[in-house]
Amino acid sequence: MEESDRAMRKANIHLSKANKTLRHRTVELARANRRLKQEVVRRRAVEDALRKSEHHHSELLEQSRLMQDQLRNLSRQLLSAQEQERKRISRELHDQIAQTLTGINVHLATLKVAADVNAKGLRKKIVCTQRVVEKSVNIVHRFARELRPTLLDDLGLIPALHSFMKAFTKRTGLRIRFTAFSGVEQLNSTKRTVLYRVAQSALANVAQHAHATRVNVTIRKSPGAIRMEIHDNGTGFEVERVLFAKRHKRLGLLGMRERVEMVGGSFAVESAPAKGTTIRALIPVHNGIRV
Amino acid sequence: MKSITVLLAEDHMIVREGLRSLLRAEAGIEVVGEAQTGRQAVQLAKELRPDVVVMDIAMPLLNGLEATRQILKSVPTTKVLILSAHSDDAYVEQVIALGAAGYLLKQTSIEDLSTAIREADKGNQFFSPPIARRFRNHDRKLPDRKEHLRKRMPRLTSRELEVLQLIAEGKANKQAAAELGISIKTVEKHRQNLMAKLNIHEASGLTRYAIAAGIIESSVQLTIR
Repeated sequence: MEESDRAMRKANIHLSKANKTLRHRTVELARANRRLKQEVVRRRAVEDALRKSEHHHSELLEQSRLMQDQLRNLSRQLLSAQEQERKRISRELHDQIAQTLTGINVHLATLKVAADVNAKGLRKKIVCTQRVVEKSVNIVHRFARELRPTLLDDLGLIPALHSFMKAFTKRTGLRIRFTAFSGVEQLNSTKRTVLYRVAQSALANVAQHAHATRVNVTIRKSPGAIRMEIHDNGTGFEVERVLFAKRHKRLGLLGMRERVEMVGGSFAVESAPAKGTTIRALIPVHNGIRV
Repeated sequence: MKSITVLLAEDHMIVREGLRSLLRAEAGIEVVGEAQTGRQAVQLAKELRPDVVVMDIAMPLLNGLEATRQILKSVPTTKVLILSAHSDDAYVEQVIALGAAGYLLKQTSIEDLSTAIREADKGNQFFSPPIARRFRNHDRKLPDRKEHLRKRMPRLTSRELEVLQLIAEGKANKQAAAELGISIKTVEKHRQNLMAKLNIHEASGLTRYAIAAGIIESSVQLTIR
């Protein structure tokens, strides 16, 4: 009888201990549940916020894309307007100023012939004046040609580039090997102008920065397109760094790219210290898809 | 003696008036008509059949080159003299290819106009001196040119001139040596002497000097396919 009593008392103690543990556990569980519920609420709030921010983000992206498109359109309009303006000014310089100055020289020539043969001093003065006028005419011509060469419109891209290169080598001492595919003249005036400007820009860079000794310019036929490459054996540069540099240090690369893309073409530049620099422009023969 | 009849084709008024005055003072030359556009020039040439047409290359309503082509075709006895403000080789070559009687730079030697007209009437060609000089350099024979250059640059020896020309044409030392039949070391020595004598310190300077001195025409190698 005593043994069963003892056993029952032991069991009671165990039971009450177990109960106590159970109560503890229940309290802890309740606490844990509460925390879990709070956690869920918090997480849902975060998900909501995330979704909202993603939506906002994609809106911003869309706006940014729209603005980029607008900027690109604007920059193309600017380039186009710039070219028109240059053409107009160049023509005015030729037609008005240069012609008038030349007219003056022609009148002076008449004067020289008509003047009294004994008035040597007068004759000399007339010759002097003619020379001054001639110099002015040459300055005006040079300026007009830099703006837009008449050769480009009159005789085509190849003569215009050849003429530009001859003056260039005379000034810089850089040797140029120019190989061209005669079919390039079939491109419309806008595309030919783009190629001229890119070459002009690229060669200016070579003269100023490359420390090169020779330049190769090639214009070749590609399937459905014309490819122009300008390669110099100079020191090269870090393309990435220049593309993201401040405006006046970008070597006109963005301008080149913009012009080429404006006519539906693609533009690339490669450069490495040992290999020099290569500028590549690919212009489609038929009008590309407008972006 | 019959006067040489001339048709003036020039669209800029002041230039045209100047040309008229200039020619009026010339004995034996008579201006029989004036045109202000290319089309007018062709029309008047057919009507008046002048001995010589003085044509500005840049005319409105049919440019000077095209008008020249048409005139030479429909009035073969008429000679056409081109007047231009541009001295680019490309224009001159076009004009020569067309069969014009000459090329005159407007702003330079307009007094040569009457001489040009008389030469054209005789059936000869006349070019403004700077242009004539440039085209003469093109096909001057090699020994003749060398003598001509040596006279102009007495400080450089004959060999040094040769090396200078080859360098400016783009030949490397090795190629220059092979062409002249001397050693590379000798070429280098000549190169150094050239730089010292001409006070030039870099390769591009030598090329620039060579072009300026007329040793080479230009440093552009052109290939058209």
